[in-house]
Amino acid sequence: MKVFFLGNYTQDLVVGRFRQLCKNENLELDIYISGFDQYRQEIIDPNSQLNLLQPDVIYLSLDLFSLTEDFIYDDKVDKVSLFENRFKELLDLLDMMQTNLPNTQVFIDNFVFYKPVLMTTVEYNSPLSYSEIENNANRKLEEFTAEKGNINIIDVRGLMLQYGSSAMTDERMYYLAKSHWSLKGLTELSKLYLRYFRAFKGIRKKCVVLDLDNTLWGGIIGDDGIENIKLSNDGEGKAFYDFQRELLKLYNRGILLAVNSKNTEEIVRETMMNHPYMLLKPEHFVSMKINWNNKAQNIKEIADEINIGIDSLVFLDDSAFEREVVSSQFPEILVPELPKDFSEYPNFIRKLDVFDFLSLTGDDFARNKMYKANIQRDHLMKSTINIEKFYYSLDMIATVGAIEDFQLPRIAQMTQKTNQFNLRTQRYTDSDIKRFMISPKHEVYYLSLADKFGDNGIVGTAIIQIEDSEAFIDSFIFSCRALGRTAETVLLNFIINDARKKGLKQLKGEYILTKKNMPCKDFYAKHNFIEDSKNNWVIDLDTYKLKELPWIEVNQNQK
Amino acid sequence: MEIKDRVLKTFSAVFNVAKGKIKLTDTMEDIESWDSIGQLQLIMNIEVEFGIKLNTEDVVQIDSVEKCIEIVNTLLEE
Repeated sequence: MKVFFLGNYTQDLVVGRFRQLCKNENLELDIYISGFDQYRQEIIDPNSQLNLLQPDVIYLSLDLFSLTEDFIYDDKVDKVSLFENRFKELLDLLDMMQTNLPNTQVFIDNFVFYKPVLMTTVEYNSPLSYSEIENNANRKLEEFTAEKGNINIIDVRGLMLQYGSSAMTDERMYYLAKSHWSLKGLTELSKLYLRYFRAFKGIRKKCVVLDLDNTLWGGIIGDDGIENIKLSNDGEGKAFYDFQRELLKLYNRGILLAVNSKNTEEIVRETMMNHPYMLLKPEHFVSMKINWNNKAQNIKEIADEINIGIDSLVFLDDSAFEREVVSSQFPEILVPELPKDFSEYPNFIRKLDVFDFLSLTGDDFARNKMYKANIQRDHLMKSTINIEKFYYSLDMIATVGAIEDFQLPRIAQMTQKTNQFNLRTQRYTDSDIKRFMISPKHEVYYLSLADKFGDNGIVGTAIIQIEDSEAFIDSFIFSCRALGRTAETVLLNFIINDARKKGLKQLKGEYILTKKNMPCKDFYAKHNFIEDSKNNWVIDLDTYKLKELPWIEVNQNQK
Repeated sequence: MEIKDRVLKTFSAVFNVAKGKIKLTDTMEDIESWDSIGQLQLIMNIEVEFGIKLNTEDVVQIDSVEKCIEIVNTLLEE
């Protein structure tokens, strides 16, 4: 992989550190660095080293002071328009770079004055103060990157806030060689650069294995009891609550959690279910080893169960003894020392730099947005007394039809992951779905739903099996986030209409009870199906009366 | 270890040259990777090694191994 560093100051020392870190982690990179302050030429000249090399990754680091020092000292000039022009030029340059190198991942430092050059009484209160320059510059950069792919912002400003300008910089380095950083600055900055690289390459740990007593809560649950452990949303016990909150955040990003604890399983489960501030529940753990066995043995079993390499585990335990037991047997497991003081736990996990992502994945991000939209919808629900009025107020548009190839993975994923509104819980792979699509005896339908809060994408799917004059609903699955808006009825109506078009006489359905699909138990009853044997439902297609849903605009997507 | 040895060890580590090959009279001309960036790396390493802080003036003056030892000595005596 080719990595190119571009900037407007002397980056050699930072890059030197970065090179060292890569070597330590066995990352084999070809690292290049532009000449001092040559970033413009590198970008503009089609025959520059940058453009000829077509690197895989670019790090662009611009010192805000050097970018603006020609005018920020002069109180008589129109700083605002000078600033605007300067940043327009810069963004045009970035645009050009992306156009010329469309396959290159770009990382760009956000803007910060490495030292607070203008922090005096009057300047903060003048037009275009130093902080205003920083804020404007960063807002422009964020707006620019938001519209582009392959470009991410490195939060150097956050790094400066964390360690402080005076620790991070060294004036001598600036005046002697236009390098800015102190030894500390070089170390932290190069570490930060590496984190972005790892995130880009998806190099991260996959599973956090957790001890319980004095790790997830304070105290020994078996001795102290559920009411005496330290775990609260207030006071010292909040440290454990916040620690759990950080772990839950990792879980929500797809990092697995597991338990490895010497305890009585029953007591632990009761605590997880009933303690009011216990955020992590049994459902969050991919595996729970709660027994009196050797913890190294437990952790090996966890890795085997979930079928991941033992080197992608992190083990957190307050006991130095247990850490030693595990790390002596499995040196490839990351076993960091937990802080002595539990109030440091939340910060400790925040700083553990082995779970980095470049962005929330499209899906996660979209899901988060949808959840947010759901909250707004619930809010509307509360303010709208009449349910039909509420439905109308959502401006729903549903699209239904037979699925096309590009939708196949999402459909397979729904059969695999949806538990609650899943009438028969049949799990299918991509190739199963493909088979149904080709088969003359099957139909695979989808429903996508948009409303005024956003596009939910595909939220429903159904697989129909046709035998003579009979259609059977093999699968009917609806995403929970789209329930309560009658859209599932749209999908059912579509199934019925399509069956009628085919000249079929009967539509049958079955409900198979699982531990999780109670929410859809009454689906067929609610839609006036007749139960002809236990959990088997049927309608006569000629006489069935469709439910009308005038509040949803339905588009039929015909192949 | 003597100060001289510790300085030589630092030169050796920073510039990637065997300790035995470094002469006290060596200057920036003689040691290949001793350029302006190398100078900064040398200073940072010397400061960590001896727990001292050099002035910009001191840094500018270091143009040979001998001079470096002299400046370190002076700072340690202060």
